[in-house]
Amino acid sequence: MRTATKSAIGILSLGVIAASYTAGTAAQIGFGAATVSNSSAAGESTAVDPSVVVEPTPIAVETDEVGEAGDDDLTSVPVQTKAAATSATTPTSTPTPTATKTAAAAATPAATPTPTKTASTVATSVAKTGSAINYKYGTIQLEVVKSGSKITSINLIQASTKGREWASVPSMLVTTAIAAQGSNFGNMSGATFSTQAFKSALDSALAKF
Amino acid sequence: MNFETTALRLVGDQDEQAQKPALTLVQPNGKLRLGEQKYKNLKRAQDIIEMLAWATVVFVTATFLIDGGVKQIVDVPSALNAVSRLTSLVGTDLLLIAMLLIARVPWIDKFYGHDKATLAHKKLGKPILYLVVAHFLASLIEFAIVNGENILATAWWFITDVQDMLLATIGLALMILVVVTSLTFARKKMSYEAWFIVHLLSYASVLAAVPHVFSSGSDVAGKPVQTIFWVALYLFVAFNIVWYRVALPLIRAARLGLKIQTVVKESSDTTSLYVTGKGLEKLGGQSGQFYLLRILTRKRWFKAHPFSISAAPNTQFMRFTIGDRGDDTGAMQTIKPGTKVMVEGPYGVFTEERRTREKVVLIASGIGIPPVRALAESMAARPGDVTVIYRVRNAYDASLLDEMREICRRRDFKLHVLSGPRARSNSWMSADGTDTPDQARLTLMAPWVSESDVYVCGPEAWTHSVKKSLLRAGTPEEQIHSEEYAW
Repeated sequence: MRTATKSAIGILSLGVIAASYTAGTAAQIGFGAATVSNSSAAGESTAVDPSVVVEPTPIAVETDEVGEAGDDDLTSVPVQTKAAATSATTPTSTPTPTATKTAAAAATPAATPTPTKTASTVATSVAKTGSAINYKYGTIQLEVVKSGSKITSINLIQASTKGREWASVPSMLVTTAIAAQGSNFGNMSGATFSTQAFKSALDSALAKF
Repeated sequence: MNFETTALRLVGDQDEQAQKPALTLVQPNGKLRLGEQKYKNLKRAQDIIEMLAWATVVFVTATFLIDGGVKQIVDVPSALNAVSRLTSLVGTDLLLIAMLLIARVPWIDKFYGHDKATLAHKKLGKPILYLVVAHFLASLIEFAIVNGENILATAWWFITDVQDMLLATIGLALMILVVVTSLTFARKKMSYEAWFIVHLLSYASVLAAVPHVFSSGSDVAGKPVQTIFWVALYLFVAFNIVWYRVALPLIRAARLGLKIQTVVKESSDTTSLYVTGKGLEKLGGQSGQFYLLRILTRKRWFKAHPFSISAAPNTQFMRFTIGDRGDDTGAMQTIKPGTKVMVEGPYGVFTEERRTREKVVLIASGIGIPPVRALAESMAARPGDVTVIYRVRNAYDASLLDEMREICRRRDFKLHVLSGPRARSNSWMSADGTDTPDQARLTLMAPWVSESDVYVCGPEAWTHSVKKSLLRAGTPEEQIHSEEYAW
């Protein structure tokens, strides 16, 4: 390369690198940013019901509480969620409790009045629980609710992660999985193993339909 | 005075050799663009190509940074993770560029020449390996710390349990093998064929690493922009390799159906192969270019050798003049007419494409004569524009010398034949009984050498000392053209 071009390109590259570094420090932490871009891309299957997407949030909150209260490194969430999930094993029940955005505590009683949401699509929702997948940081087990052929919600029965900072990962994966309508979505950087285990758990649940 | 008698004798010889086709020359090129601008255009094109290559490196680094690659660093494992991500991005990018450089792509060959591209490819080998090994080690140590296990246990778990990592690790092992066998000391101990077969494994190595890039690459998987970029880059490189290195030569070989028509002994250790086939003109080569020649016999079909054409491209035949160096070229001296051959090419920029001046000096030594002979035949020139200097051991036993004489006579070029032992140990000329420095003698033979395009072809060390003389005589470097040995 000629010297003049080289200097020009060099300066330009430094600019680009500096700009992207600044953009990077302003952004969310690694895997957070990744999921956002991912779900928005996969989100072209516009069928995603906004109320359903909201669903994971309460669980994430629960997870955090448990994490703070409890064990040193591994965070596991089974307690509350499991309760919600088990009560939901009867068909037609699941998507709504969380969707109604009532507080996590109130979620369980509100189990029955389902049809409002699901009736618009197909009458019945079916929930199936997959097998528990053991991985490096614990166990992930999921319950998937389908309305017709569409995955309307995914409940975390067990979802332990690496530590507190990763506690929100499973719920993010839920959002992504619903958007992708299955396990065909990318890796969440910084949470490769959770992603892998989540996908296996999801596949095993989906296989039961 | 010696030369005169030699010429007469050789002309007489030629008449007796019934098999040798009569010397028919092509019509020289009528028009040629010259001038400084040509060189500037070339440099601009090179700048654009290099800029694109560099831009890919900047782009992948930027994607890493925008994604918070630096911000995520909070402790040792996350720092290792960042190292692993960045080295893999840059390493893979350079790896794909290196593969493109060796794919014999016309649009690279045209601007750099096959030799320069190959040298660049060689230079990239080690840095790529370092980056990829750093990527592997950083990931491994990161997981060892996170898991609280030792490195070996982590490596085992990594390879056996994590998706696509077994393949990726095999890819890494192959890549180490490929680079190590290409280091100078190893190259010297291996035959070209053994090295070549090992080198082919690099394709397997790259392919083995592909799945883990897209399934668990933190900067690729699940990120649309990056995925599009990487898929496009992989496909682009794959297309160029498959098309230009495999498909096109095979298609051409099938169409042309090349065969050796005549084999002519040129001197005690050189032979010309006249190759014919259907539609030779479609190959579109230029004087000074070379082809990779494969002799399609059971023993030799897998070996390709680079040879310059020793006659300007024409519709009748394609001619290679081959010196016996004791290896495969020895067997080629006695090859039977009718043998099927295949060519890949044309490659190289030892051509008029690079010429910017009216005056030209062609300098050849020994078996470096073929491209110079072809250039002398077809170069656009007025009488006296071209000076040829031909260095030989012995004027009685020099290949193509009589042809050179005939061409120079017909086209009114000056021919200087330097025969006999060398003048001094570091001289590229023959002894003339005086102690005159090479560049002084050069200036006497070609008074306008400093404003000429000079084409030099011969052994590496010899070429090097010719270049030195030329620079001393005042010829700018960009006017000196030579092909570097890059195999």
